[in-house]
Amino acid sequence: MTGEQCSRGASFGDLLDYWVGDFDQGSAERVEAHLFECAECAQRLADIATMAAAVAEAMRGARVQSIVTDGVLNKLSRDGVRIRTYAPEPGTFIPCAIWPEDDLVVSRLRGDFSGYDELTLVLKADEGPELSRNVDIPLLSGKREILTATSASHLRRLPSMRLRLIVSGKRGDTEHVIGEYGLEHGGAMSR
Amino acid sequence: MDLAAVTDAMLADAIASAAPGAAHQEEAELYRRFAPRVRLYGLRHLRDAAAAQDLVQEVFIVLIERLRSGGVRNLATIGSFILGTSRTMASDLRRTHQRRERLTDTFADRALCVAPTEPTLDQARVDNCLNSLPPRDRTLLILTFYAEKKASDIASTFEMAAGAVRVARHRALARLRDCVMGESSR
Repeated sequence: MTGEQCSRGASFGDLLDYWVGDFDQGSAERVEAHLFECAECAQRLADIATMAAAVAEAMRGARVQSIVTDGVLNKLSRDGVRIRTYAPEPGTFIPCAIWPEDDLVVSRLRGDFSGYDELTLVLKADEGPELSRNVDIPLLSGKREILTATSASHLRRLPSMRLRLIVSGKRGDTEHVIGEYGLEHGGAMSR
Repeated sequence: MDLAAVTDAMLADAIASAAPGAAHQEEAELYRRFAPRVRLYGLRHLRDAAAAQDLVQEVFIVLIERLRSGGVRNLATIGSFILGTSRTMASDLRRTHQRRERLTDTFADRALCVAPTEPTLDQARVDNCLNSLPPRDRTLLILTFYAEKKASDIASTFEMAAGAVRVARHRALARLRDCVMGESSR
């Protein structure tokens, strides 16, 4: 999967659009006809399919940290991923812990996230260092909620500590803190 | 003869000209070249690895029988013949497979039905690369390949034009690919 076009002009973008179903029937049939004549593009499409399957597998394995939607969470649940959800209010700390059966931990962060050029989500130890920083996160669940999913196996490695999730937004050159959400992380629990 | 250097049409002609079953090396070479494409066609249209593998078997049974019996009129366009056969058989298989899926859902472990022939990547590497992508790229790939959302669906969520989503999705996959392939070659 090197280069962007095959020697006959079919592009990587066309193959990707075909694979995900973004072409109309006529365009899809043209791509298919080309694939059965061009070994190079058949190999590129195989690479796309393999990569697509690996992304889906990473999600089903709850190994991806990401902003998600309720639709994605519903699909994860249908796929058997066990999800624990916390909804801390801005400016407060709530207790949280990771249990043996948890695969994924979701934080529902509520606030007014509208009108910013760029949003940043930081996870840090209270009075301590940053553990992760995600710059330019997308708003997927409207302007008033951000759903962030974290692998439970990742959180299990953290000791008991107070954590802060901080959402900030940029307007022009100025960065504003929109909300700080506290989690009293009790560590990995057992039953 | 180095079969890798022979054209698709020459392979088809060699199979059609030989006594039935005598051109087994040419038949194997034709399978090596086209089975992955038929499988991808099956995955794209049937959305199931087991059904795609069934399609490969069905198409090649028809293909080899038709070549051996002289039933393929234009050997120069053997790729088109294989595509046409794939289309016809996928339509039949879709109906058969839907019935089989219902049975499997009811009586058996679905994991046992997945053919073990799919190419795979180092999954740990993919996980790391996915988590290291910019947040928008990561989300775009998740919505595309896990949630199976089309560009028009994602466009409304991201408040972007569908065309811009396609470009961004293309770039995000290229970044993931570069990360996975780059690390694998070190």
